[in-house]
Amino acid sequence: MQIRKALHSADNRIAQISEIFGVVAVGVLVCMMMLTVTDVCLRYFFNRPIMASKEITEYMMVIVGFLGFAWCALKGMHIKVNLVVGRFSERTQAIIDIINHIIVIGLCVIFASQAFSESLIVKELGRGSDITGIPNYPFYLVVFFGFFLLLIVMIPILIESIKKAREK
Amino acid sequence: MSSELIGGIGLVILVILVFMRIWIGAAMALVGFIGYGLIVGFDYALIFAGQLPYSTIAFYPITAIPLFVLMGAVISNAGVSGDLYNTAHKWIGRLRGGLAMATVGACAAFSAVCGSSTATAATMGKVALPEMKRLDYDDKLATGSVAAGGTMGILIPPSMGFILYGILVDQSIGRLFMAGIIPGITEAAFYVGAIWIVTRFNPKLGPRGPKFSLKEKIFSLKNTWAMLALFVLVMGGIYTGVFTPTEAGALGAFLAIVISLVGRKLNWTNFRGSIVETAQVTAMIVLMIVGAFMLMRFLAVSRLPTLLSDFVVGLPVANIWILVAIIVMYIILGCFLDIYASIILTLPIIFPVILALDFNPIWFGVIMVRVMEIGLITPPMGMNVFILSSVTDVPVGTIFRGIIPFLIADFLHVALLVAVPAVSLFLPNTM
Repeated sequence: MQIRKALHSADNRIAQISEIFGVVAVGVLVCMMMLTVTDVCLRYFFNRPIMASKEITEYMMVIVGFLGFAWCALKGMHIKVNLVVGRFSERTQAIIDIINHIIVIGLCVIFASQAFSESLIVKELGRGSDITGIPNYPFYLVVFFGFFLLLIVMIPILIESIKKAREK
Repeated sequence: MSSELIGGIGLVILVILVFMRIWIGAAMALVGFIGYGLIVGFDYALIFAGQLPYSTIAFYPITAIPLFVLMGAVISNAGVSGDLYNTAHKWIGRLRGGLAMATVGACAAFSAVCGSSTATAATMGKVALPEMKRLDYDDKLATGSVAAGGTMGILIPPSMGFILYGILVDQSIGRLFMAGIIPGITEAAFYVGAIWIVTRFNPKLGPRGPKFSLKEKIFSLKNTWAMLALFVLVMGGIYTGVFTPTEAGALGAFLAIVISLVGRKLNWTNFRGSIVETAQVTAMIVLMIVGAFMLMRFLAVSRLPTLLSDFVVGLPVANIWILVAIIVMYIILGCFLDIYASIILTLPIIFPVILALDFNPIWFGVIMVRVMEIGLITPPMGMNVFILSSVTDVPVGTIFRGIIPFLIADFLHVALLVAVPAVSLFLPNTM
């Protein structure tokens, strides 16, 4: 009973965290829009563009794209084809989902760990953007964090599928 | 084992995984990673897995995705569809089948600022169907016109289909947008033609609507001119080279917010819903793009696309028949797969064949996106049909029957696009 309670509370906490980072992604998205609009207006009306607008926008895109992964998984928004599996019994569906979730977790481990290693390499090489010199490695860490958060979110989803498979 | 064989086995496994209900992005990433590892070595595959997600997404053209999604989300949440429909209703509602024609016209106008087929069908369904019901329109014609009209969302720019196509095959998104304009207009004309023919044979299906004075007609434009001006500004900016597609997307999203605020159509709840939807859709697409690039690298080292291209080019049939076969494949695929998934999954294999056959990539992009639209209204998936059924309570079977005249129009329109490439290429060629 206590384990169940602890799992439930962990579930909620994970959902909250993924949502918080989703909100960060939303905030960065609005900033991205405003930055680009300001750049266009300054260039068109005053002939004074924001020189680093393009590279800052690219960095922002990394934040918007990867921080939303886990949130998207929680909301069940990642695209999948339900045409065949949807016709199977609920137990079979749950078993297939277990396999799928394990595959996703495995991929998250690979991508997260490799993005982390790459961030260390990029930091050591001192790679940064051309105009502002903003270092690249924090954004590799964002990639790492996006996959890591997805991994954390997938664990309770996997446990839920296992429970379903055992109940049916 | 030869690398081509590994490529072929990889594709078979990919199809199995996709139909096993694994996320499509994850399936492509998995097959891409393992396939690349088997051919080049897993040490290189791991390095690649570390570099690819960042290098793929920190790429300026990709930033157009969230900005155009935001523009469409704001517009669809702000209830602009009602104004567009009212305007079209007042101008052509008097004709026989005029409300269905007005629905198609409003769908085309909404698509010009929205970019999502499902959003177009859902919002127009809520607005247009009650009015058509009130005037005793046949359910089949009414729902068919909304479901088919909604499909234009992905062809008339700004279109997410074109953005994804442009990113994956390295074609100009601006040129693709321009290439979609005339086919979008002609598609609307074909649908209007279908309604005209159907109601001519059976006038009871779509009775005439009420008559409006010229003053009322002109007055109705006051709520819609801003959205049409937004479309002209965004597309005009891209056409004249004043903006990049990313800048046009940002400006479009910003102006959509301003216009909706000024028109008191946007409140905090709508705005919050729009940006949350945008962030989630972006994350979903980003995962698929990362998976697609992983898969493309694997296929490139497997040399399977080259082998396939050589094989197809060597076939003793005219190129046009190969194109027809590809179109049929996309129609079938569109019946089972989501439109984004179809584009992302198939391009790594199909596009080299298209280049080998010496087809214009912009023209093919238009045809591919146009053909995929058909999948949105054909069984068993027919996404627009299911969405429309859920927002209107009209049975799915009734809507599918109502679709038939529009499907015929679809096939004729695709034939036109194939036979006359200038319909797609005229505008981009003048850029």
